[in-house]
Amino acid sequence: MSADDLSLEKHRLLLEARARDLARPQDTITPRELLYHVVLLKLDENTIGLPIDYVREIVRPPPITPLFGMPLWFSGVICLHAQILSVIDLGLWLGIGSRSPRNALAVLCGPDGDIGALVDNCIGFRPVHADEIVPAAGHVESSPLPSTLAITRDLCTIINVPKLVGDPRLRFGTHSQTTPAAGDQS
Amino acid sequence: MSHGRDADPALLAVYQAEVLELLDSLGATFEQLRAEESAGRAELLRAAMRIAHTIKGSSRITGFDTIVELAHAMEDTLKSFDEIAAAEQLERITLLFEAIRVTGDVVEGKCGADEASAMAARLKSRFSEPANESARKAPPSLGPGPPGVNSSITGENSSELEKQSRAQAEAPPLGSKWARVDLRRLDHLMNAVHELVLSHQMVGSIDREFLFAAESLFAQAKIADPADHKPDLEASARLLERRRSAAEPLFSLSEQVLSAAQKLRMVPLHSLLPQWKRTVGEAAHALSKRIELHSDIGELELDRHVLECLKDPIMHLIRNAVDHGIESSSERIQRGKQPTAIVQIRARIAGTTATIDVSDDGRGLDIDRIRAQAVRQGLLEPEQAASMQANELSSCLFHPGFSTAQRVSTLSGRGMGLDVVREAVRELGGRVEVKHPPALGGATFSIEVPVDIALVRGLLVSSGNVKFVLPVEHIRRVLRVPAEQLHWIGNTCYANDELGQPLTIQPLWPSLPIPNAKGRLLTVVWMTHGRKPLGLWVDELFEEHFFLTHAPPWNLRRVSGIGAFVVLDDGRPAAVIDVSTLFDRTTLKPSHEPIHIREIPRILVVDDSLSVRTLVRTTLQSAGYEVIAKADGREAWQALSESSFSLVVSDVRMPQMDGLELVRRIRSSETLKNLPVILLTSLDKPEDISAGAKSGANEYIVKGRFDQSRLLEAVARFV
Repeated sequence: MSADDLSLEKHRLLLEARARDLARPQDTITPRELLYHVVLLKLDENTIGLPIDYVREIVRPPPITPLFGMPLWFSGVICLHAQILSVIDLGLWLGIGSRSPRNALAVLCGPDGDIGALVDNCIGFRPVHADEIVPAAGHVESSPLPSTLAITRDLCTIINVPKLVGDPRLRFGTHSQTTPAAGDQS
Repeated sequence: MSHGRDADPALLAVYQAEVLELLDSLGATFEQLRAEESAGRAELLRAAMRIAHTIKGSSRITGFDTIVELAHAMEDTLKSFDEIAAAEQLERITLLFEAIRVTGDVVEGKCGADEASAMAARLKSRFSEPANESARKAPPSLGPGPPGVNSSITGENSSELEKQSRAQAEAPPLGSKWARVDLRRLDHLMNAVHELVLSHQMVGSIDREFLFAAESLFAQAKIADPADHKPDLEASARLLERRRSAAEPLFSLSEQVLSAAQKLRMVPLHSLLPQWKRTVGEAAHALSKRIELHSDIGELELDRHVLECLKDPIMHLIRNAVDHGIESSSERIQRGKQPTAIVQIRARIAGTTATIDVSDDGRGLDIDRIRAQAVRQGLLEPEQAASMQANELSSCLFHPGFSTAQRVSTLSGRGMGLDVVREAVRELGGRVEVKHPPALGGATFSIEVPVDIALVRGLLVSSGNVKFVLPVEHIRRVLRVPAEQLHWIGNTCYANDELGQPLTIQPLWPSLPIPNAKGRLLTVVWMTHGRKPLGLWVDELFEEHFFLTHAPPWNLRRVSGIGAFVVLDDGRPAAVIDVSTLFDRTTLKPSHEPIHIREIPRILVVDDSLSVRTLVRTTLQSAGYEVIAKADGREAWQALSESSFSLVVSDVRMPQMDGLELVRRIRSSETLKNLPVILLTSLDKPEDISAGAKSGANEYIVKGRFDQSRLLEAVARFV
């Protein structure tokens, strides 16, 4: 067999393989189910994912004015695009501490308005598929982090932003806010 | 028959603009109706009837009765439109176009009101009789018409109809003097302008620091080697000066843009007048009373949001006056009063505050009944109630659930309302009170609100290293109180004012403890709210000026003490204190020991350089001094003749009158000769210093070697 014959044989096999692929019934193809597109954020050693549908923007934190009598996780208020925005420390809110400097602010959309969440850094974006989620729902329920939507196998915690922003503790001055989650800043 | 030309001119202008727009929409609808074969005709007819109905409603409120008549005839003409033959439809449309023209002419004053009546009569005579049965087509599938026109209207169709009508009316006609703008666009513009002004403020702040640093650098370079010619430095200095000159108009322009944008939000108060008239008319009719509404509100304009929020409170006060305040005609006659009662709305403006008084000439407040009810409801102890004056007792009326009404009507008397009025007014940063004596002999309720909630004149203060803004309208003066002269009863701290009256002193935030270390001088801002005084302890005082306010974020709107936010030059927000909530926290305690109160030293800063003036002023204000800044000796001399100062800090080389001449004048004045003067100048030659000393200056500081602490040390020596 000559080199040309070999080459021809090789081509034939290749074309046969392609034909088999194309001829395969559709139902044998199992596409991955895309659950979320998330913004990846660092909070100390933790990786947090925020579904991008609920993240308006990520900016370097502007100067923050603290307010008296607020819980520790409430960092204060900022002015962003001529609007006053409340800012929380996401690490303190989630109960994972505040050991590293907060260099980024994620603006989260809520039903009543936006809120800023301080994080260490934004490290990128990624799609999250169903097969990447830790299957046992109990993991999410028993997660030490409140407002957890899901946890991926590589330990990225996806946050349930509507639940977080809708948390009654964030609404100050109402009867539901008589006992702040953390300490008092005063 | 009432004629709308007698209406308020501003209201007339609004009415004209609205009706002309509606007529344009109606004309366009008729055009479509003429062209449309079958599909969409029903919708077009409903839209046309709706527009005619809207014109009728607006004309009724404004008093254009003949237009009401004509619009009604137009509605009737349209009513059975689809039931008639095509030829007659065309005839009707032709006449309806004529009716549009006549309406427009009457509204614009081009012809008399009689023409509208004549046109209405023509429409009625031509089309009021039932249409020829033979000419009728199949029953129409028009569906519902506007309310009051077709009783079979359904909510779904009605809203669709309104949507269409609105959509047509939203497009302003060409040549109109008015432009209808979507409020969201207006808010977007305001936000953009706010952001522009904030950015300018920040740039301006950085500019000032930079220019001062650069000027110091040039001065030092010259001092180091005056003989050395440095063309680069001089060119840079000229460039900086040009930049400063070029930037100044920008700040003024951005302020002008802001001011213009704010005016876009202003709405005349008299736009509420038709509603008030209707309310009085309807309520009076329901109660068989004879009441006239008098208004004296001039050209007062309020921010759109303020006006929206005031609508219901004012209406509530009017209804209260009609229902409870005003007697029946027979009772009035028995009391020797005119049978027709008066409800009066009077509005005026002082500075940035608008006052709206709602008065009536009725029976007035029954103070004894209020007193008894306050005791019955446990609001006051009997002895306390007995000793209270009418003005103090009337504040009980604003307590939730408080009512002295003996009957409950559909209008009022449930004890719900005045507290809601108070809350609504409070949310605007205002207040409501009962005025004594009343304007017309009955009762007068007075509402005070800021004209424009987007702007507040405030004093910037700091407390616990956080800056806040105190609205100036509530500040009476600033005091320095030695800590050892504070008095404590329980947790309440107080001092005596200069008249020996007790003044409660509290921190800006309840969790901040008032220091009582001996020798400490406390800065206290003496606030007032109505007649109540309150001393607010703060750490530092900064500048006072107009601030643009921003609404609190959605989750902080109910936080007690925060009325709004402003954004400072460094981009940091500062809360505007809601003064009314501070007063809710206070409890006044008596005291008999008068205390010594010291005022803040007032310093006159004179320098022709804006950057130096700003820096020196900021430095001194940060240290708690009150500062007045002037640009040259002549202005300073004028200021010295008008008010008193503790110290003058002046430059030497200035236009009009230099610093040395200023010092000489001060020393030769009988009243000012002992006033200390510090010369702050870049002239550092021995002969300059000597000239300064000869003129009578107390201290000579060279700007090139200027530092804050040296200036503050020098100032502290003299004041």
